[in-house]
Amino acid sequence: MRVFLLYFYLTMAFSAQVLAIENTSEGLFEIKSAKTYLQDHRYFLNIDVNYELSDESIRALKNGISLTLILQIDIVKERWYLWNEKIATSTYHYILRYHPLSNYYVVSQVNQNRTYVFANLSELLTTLGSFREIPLLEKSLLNEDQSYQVRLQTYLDIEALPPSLRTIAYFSREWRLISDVFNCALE
Amino acid sequence: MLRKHLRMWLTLLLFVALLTSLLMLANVLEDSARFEHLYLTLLTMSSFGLLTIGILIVLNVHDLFRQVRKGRPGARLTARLVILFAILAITPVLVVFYFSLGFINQRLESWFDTQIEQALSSALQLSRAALDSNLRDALNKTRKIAGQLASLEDQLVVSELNAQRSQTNAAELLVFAPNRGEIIAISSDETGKLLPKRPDKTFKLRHQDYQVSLQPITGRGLFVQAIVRYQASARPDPTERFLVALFAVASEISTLANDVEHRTNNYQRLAYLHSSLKTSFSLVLSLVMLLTVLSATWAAFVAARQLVKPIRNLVEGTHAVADGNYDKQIPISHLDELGFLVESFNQMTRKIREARDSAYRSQRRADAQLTYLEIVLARMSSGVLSLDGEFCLRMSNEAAEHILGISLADLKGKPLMESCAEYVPLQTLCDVVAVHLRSEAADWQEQLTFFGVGGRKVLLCRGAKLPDLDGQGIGHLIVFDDITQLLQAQRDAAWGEVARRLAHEIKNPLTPIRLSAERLRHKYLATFPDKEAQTLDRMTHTIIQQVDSMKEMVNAFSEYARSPQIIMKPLFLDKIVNEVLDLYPSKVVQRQLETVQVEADAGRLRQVLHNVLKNALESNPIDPKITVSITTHEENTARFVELKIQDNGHGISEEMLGSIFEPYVTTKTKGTGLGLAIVKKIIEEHGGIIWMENNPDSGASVIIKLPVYR
Repeated sequence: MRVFLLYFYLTMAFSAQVLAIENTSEGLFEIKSAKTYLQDHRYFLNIDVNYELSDESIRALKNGISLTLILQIDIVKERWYLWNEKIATSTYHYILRYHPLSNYYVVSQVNQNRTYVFANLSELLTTLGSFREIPLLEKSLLNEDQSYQVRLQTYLDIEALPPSLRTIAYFSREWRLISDVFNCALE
Repeated sequence: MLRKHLRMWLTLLLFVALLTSLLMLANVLEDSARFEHLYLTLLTMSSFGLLTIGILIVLNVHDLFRQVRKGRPGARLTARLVILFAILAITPVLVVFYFSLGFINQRLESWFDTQIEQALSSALQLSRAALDSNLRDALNKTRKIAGQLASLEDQLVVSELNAQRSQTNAAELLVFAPNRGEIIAISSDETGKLLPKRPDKTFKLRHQDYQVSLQPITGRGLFVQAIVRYQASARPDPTERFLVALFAVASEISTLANDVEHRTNNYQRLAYLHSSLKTSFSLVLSLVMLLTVLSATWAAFVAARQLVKPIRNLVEGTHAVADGNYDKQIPISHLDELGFLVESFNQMTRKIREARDSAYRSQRRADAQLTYLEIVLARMSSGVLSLDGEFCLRMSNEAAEHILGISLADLKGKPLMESCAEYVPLQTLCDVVAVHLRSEAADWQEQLTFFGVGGRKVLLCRGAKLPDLDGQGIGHLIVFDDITQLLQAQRDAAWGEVARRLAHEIKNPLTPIRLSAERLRHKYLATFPDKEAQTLDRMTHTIIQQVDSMKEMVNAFSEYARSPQIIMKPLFLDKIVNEVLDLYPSKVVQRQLETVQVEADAGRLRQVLHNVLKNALESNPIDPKITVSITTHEENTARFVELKIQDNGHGISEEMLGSIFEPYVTTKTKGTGLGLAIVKKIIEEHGGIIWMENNPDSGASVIIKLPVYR
């Protein structure tokens, strides 16, 4: 009986924690615009994203938790008879860290030895939200008679959080930072 | 069996998989990178696995509850054992869970101390203060270099930068034209790799003409970046320039500062995560506890079923034995006390089965003997009755029914003495038997006569007591033979022998005696004087007369003893009687005749009628009146005809009534005394009975009872 009571209390505590964020910022990831262009027979992409972290995620960042933002780019071939076919996928991982010694925010891109330091978070998020000249694919790889679309989505990677935090993050709106899917024509 | 093993192994596999999953989950929480990516999968798998086991247990509980309600053997015991085992296993788990939860909370809370936090914060502040001097130094150096560069042409800036970089130990020096966004000159010990972010045309200084900051560079350590604005005065049009200088922080300071930052970071990280860590540890601990509880419950089910199985088998076996199934054998799974009990049960059922088979064989033998006995009894000519201690009829054979002329099937199980009143033959038998049944004599024998369906019958009864075999008291056996024909034959043979001897010993000498007397008379009657002649005449006449009389007597006796073949034919008795009565004067004879058919020899029957009518006429020579009547009667199943000849004579004395039909018993002075004996003999040959009784007013009546032809 005590076990079930304990379980009940845990559930209640967990729910309370989830409900307690009602008055705090829940954050928002929104892809405002995306535009492709052709340059030297290769398609490129410019994206403007509004990254707004939730209070809880900012608190976690300031307490030494790294946040991983993922930008996923899919190129899909439109098909009238079936669902669209995905022909290429690119995923960009950006890790946000806070350095308490310098009081700076650092962002680095996974698999690329590039680090950017920012004095404040909003500067970092503004800079990060302006994706420029992202290479997509060669034009020759595409069929000219076929129309293609670029499908975009960006989100906070919960799986990159410490395991103990994930249990809460799976169920918390503050941690469920994900943009809507944004589609733009590949042209 | 295979399915059962498969189910058991699958369940075991599920438990092992769950345990492994929970171990991996716990490992992940300990910051193990091995299973980190599987955290959600493990959590989901564990939850679903536990849910599956929970559902299985609920189904088992429901099934057990249903079995208890249906009263299945062993269900209640299984339920009790499951509850007992579950309580025994779950209680310590809950206690351990409670204390473990408290321990985890306590341990996690103990990690965090405000003094440590304060110390770390102070260390961080100290590090910042130490670095601040570096920042100021870097800024001063940069301003000094900028002062040197302000008077130089752009082409000379590079060489000056190289010189200044060597003097100031800068890692990188860069001159940047902010209005055009282009780099004028750069000097670096590792070109293109250091500056994490170079200013462009959008770059703005936070302060009016300088900016200094710490720049951690991955893999290189900590650097100080100083940006100073200056005016390039050597040009005709003074232009704004930015000097960006990067100085490496001393390695000791950098290492220590990094260490302080790293540890502070870790501490803050842990402090931030401690509530979620508690939740996660509690969750995993709860999952482990649930797994343990469910495993214990499941194990309780398995153990209880294993324990109860032989008992349930025993109960089912007992029910089977109670229902008469002695072939039931219970499998022995273990050689323990229960196994010994099961083996004993199997031995018991085996012995019961052997006893039953033996009893069955005995019953079969008894039935065979009974059948044999019934067949023998059915083929016996003697009637057999067996009575129990209460004189109830237990058994009879066909011959008994045939002799008595009644069906005995309905009387079985009923007291013989009570049934007697309904049946005349049985009544006669009972009168004789009753005396012997109540006597102490073991064996008895008696002869009796009754008039039944087949007419008059003489039975020779023998009786014996039967041993008390079945606890129903001492029984009785009555065997009777119909000796009517035998007696008749014996009597005929005896009288025949007498007649033969009379003929041989008496009749043969009579002829020479008569011839001699006639010769004497013929030879000497004429020669003898009158007186002697008269004497001779009288004597010879007497001799001849007596010889004739003796001859007549012998002939009559021969007639009585003779046993001519009786030819029995169905005939109407009234017709025969009318034919005979027509020979007598009508004024003498009155008749009241019913038409009835009997099976008889017409000639012999006429002889009977003549004899009886002659006696009746002679009983009142002066004014004879004879009444002849034929009536039919029915007693139980026997139908018979009664022929009554009444005279108006003097009647018969009571002492002669019993023997009037015996040979040489007569009330007349004349006659052989064989007339009524011959009549009785003929009537008995017809299966009839004859007796004489005095009329209420005067005279006597001869009554003849004959069976009606069927």
